[in-house]
Amino acid sequence: MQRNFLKYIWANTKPYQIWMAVVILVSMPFYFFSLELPKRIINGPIQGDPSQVGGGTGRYFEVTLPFAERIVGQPLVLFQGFELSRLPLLLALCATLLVLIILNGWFKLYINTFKGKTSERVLRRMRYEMLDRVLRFPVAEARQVKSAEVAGIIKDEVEPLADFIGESYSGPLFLSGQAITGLTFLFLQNIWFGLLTMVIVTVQFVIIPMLRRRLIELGKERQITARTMAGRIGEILQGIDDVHLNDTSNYARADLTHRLGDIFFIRLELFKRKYLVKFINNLLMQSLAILFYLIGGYFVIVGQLDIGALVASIAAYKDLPGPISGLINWDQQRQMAQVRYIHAIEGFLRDDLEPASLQSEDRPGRIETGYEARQLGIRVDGAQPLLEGVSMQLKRGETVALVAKPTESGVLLLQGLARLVDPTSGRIQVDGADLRGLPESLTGRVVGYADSNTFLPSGKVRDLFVEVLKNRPMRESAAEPDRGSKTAREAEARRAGNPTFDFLADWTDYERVGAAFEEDLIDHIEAVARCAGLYEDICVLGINSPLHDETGAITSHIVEARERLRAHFAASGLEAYVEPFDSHRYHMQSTVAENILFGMPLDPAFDPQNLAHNPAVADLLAASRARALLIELGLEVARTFTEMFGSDSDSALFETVTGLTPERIDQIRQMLARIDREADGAIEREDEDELIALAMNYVEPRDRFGLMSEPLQEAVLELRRGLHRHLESVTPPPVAFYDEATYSPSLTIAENILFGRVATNLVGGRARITSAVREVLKELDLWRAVFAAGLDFEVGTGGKGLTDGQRQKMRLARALMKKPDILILNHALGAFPSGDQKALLEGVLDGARSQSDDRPGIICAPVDPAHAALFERVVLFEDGRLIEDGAPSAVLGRADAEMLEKPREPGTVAEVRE
Amino acid sequence: MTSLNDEVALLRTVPFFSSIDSGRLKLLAYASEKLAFEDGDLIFRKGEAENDTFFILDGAADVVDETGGEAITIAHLPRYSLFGEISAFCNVPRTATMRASGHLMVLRIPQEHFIDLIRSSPAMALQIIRVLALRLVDTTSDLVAARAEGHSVHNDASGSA
Repeated sequence: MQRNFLKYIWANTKPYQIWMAVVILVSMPFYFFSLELPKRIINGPIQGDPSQVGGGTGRYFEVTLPFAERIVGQPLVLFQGFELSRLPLLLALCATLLVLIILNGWFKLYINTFKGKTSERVLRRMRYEMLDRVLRFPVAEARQVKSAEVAGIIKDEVEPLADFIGESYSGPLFLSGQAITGLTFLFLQNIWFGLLTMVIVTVQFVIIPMLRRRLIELGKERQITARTMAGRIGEILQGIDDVHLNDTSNYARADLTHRLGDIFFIRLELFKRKYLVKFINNLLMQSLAILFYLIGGYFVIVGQLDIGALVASIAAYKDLPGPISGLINWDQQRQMAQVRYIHAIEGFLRDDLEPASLQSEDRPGRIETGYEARQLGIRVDGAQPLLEGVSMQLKRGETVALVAKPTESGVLLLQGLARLVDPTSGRIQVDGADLRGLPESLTGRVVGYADSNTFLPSGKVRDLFVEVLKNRPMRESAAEPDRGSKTAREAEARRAGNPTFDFLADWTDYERVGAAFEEDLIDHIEAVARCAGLYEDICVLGINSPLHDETGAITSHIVEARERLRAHFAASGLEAYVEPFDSHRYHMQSTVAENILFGMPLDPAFDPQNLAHNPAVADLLAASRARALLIELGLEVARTFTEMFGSDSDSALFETVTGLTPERIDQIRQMLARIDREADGAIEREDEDELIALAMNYVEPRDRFGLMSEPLQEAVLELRRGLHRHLESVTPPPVAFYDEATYSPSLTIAENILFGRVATNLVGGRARITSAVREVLKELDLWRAVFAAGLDFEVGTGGKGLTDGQRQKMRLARALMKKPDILILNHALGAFPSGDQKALLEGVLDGARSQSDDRPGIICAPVDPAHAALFERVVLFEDGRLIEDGAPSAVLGRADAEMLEKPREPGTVAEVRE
Repeated sequence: MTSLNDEVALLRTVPFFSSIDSGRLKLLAYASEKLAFEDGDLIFRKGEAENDTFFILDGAADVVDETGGEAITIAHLPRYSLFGEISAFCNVPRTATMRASGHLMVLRIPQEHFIDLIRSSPAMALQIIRVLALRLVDTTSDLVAARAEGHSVHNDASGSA
């Protein structure tokens, strides 16, 4: 990137700048005439010619050659114009002035829009170049970068540069044009006016920039301080655990406050200085205006100047500070922008960027023979080398385990093979070619890599699988972008030096994994999920997610599925373990509120926890005998809760159990005291509502207070019927009522099939119900839809919706998804107990072996060295040197005990999982 | 369906919980989940990482060791026994596998509530210490016995050589 901002702008916007200059030059004469015209209006039609009756006539549109008198000695009239009397002349001149004003305005509009467009292009180019560079940072370096800082620079810091880019060349041109025109005009009116103005302008040009120099320095300081603060905030948030664990939140506060203070005082000085400069500038310009009145007035009085010329001069002078101070501002902006620019880009100006060709070159291929390391050495940050003089081969089709002491050297070697670190000596070759020279389009598509990292991008499970196949746009998409047409977008991207890849195109490379189209891909995804041990996890996610059943696969079978399940239950004696939803019966496993609702709320006002305060329900309650019964129930619940809570002030436990905050408990206690004070047990209206709200959440099998009487159940059923009648006519319906014959999109798949709730505390019974539901889905051939629903599960930011183990399996699956020629497993799957790791590794190895003609090579540094025995070949490293290489039976016997020591199982005292 | 009051009354008869005031006992029962198992059902497995404590309300449970590949019952816990407390106290994975012996009804007490209970009731803490100490006595005597047996085996072997 060019270090000089003006040059950078010029290099990328030359044609636009030239065009803008042309437009500005063309606009100048019009500006001049708009200054000239008021004078003519006053001197012409308004004053008239006193020597003639009625003021005489004037010429309209007479064109004379400027300065002709001085050059050739006499006025040169180019066009005679029209002879008009005073009033028509006034009208004509005013109309002309109006046209000129409109024209000037239009020029401004055009120029401003054009400037905006140009600066956006440059900005877009800059941002893209920065992003492009980040993507080409050496991986190890990119990890060191503070992500918040980089994002901040690209997003915010370059933004203010846009103002300057538009002005960079056109600004001074336009302004100096205006200033020169104004100045010329003044000179033409009176030589003294011109000279006077010149002197003042010169003074301005000398003094003001001097005063402003410090402003630029301050701006720079402010920028650095703000940026390090952004970095620090990012750092604190990343380590938020530590902040809480070590009670360093106040230290963090102090740190941030200190930085905020720095910014304040920098800005304070900045403001003081800025407004001082403004004050001096204004003073200079305004005091000059007095001179105009004084000197101009004198000339008018002595008759050397006509009043029209003075008025026009003053008008021109009033317009002059704009361009002049604009020019001074421009120079300051230029310096500030240069500083800002250098500051923004310097982090991106590295010499060790990967060559752009490594990523741009589209040279997919296969790894035929495999890897070879030659005298390979890798060290990290100048420390002792962790690998030295390693020469080994890894052939496609063979499976190799690495066992290393210290383990870091094995990790580093595999990172080297995956290009995550660069060798410090020696080289890594793939099919005889140096790895460093191979494009990522080759290695990124045929090398799969999974390590202990658990980061995943956000998106659906399906996206996580498919993303690794998105290397190049494969098929054009018919979809038009929201803003701007596709062609306009592409042209604009080209103008800003961006690549013209269409993000909306279909990027998925189906052919590479042997799938013909999208639907076909799910077979491959399923196979990969099975191999990575993720299939069950995805199905569990699916069965417990609501299904937006677009294909209608499950919807159309819902009645059949429910009937089958009932039959299943009847046959296996599970009937008593499930309480089905029955619109004519009270559902014991649900809260009172859920029983009234008997459906899924579509409008939050009908959420069970809000139901007590819902006006429709309140109306129904007021007319129902349920009200008194619910108040009674609420009172019992309140009494039991306060009894359990006792006088203990340690309420954390209680809160987790009942979901009531200490404040609520206090309120309830006070309410009970109020009620008990009344001799007749009268309860205030507000307290009644409070008690109903408490009662609404009551579930007999959970709360076990023995309060769900027959009359109460009947009363609730009455309410249910009343509510349904009331809501029948409401559109859109606020509640989707449970219906035996329809699929409820707001229930999960399992809930839909079960259409009821588990009503047993028999653990084995619960498991049997779950498996019966699965069985029915499989019988009806709906299991595929469950898997598909699981693929639609949103994993959330960083994949936080999945467990650590699932995320590690997902990363393994992503490596397998591309059908790699070489699969690298670098301490992958560490979240699992050793036995599970072994099973997963066996799964992967079996999967590879089953590809008889096209077997990938697998190289693995297992978390538990004992698993090395699963591989065909084992390589031992000690202190960074290769010491043994051969069949596991031969090599493992020679490894010392320390090397084969089992790592600690996850979930031990030291690392209790969240 | 038993009511909360019945459960509290039942817990009250158990020496273990007799010292806890009734409100707190009610809270404990309320916070805990009542679970049933059928003969042979696994309650938890050795190595699993969850830390709830179980109290046998009805029936019995076996402590099982599976290290050798086959399951060997190493202890039998009768009604009103507490198990799973090691994981609750020490945050370690399960140290043994538990299996229902006949129909079993347990109260599953979440770890935080269990710890909270002990913190708030020294009498209860004392009860638990007593139980743990008795177990230690048993284990020690078992160990002594096993050692003695091992010695005698060793002696026999050397004698015959």
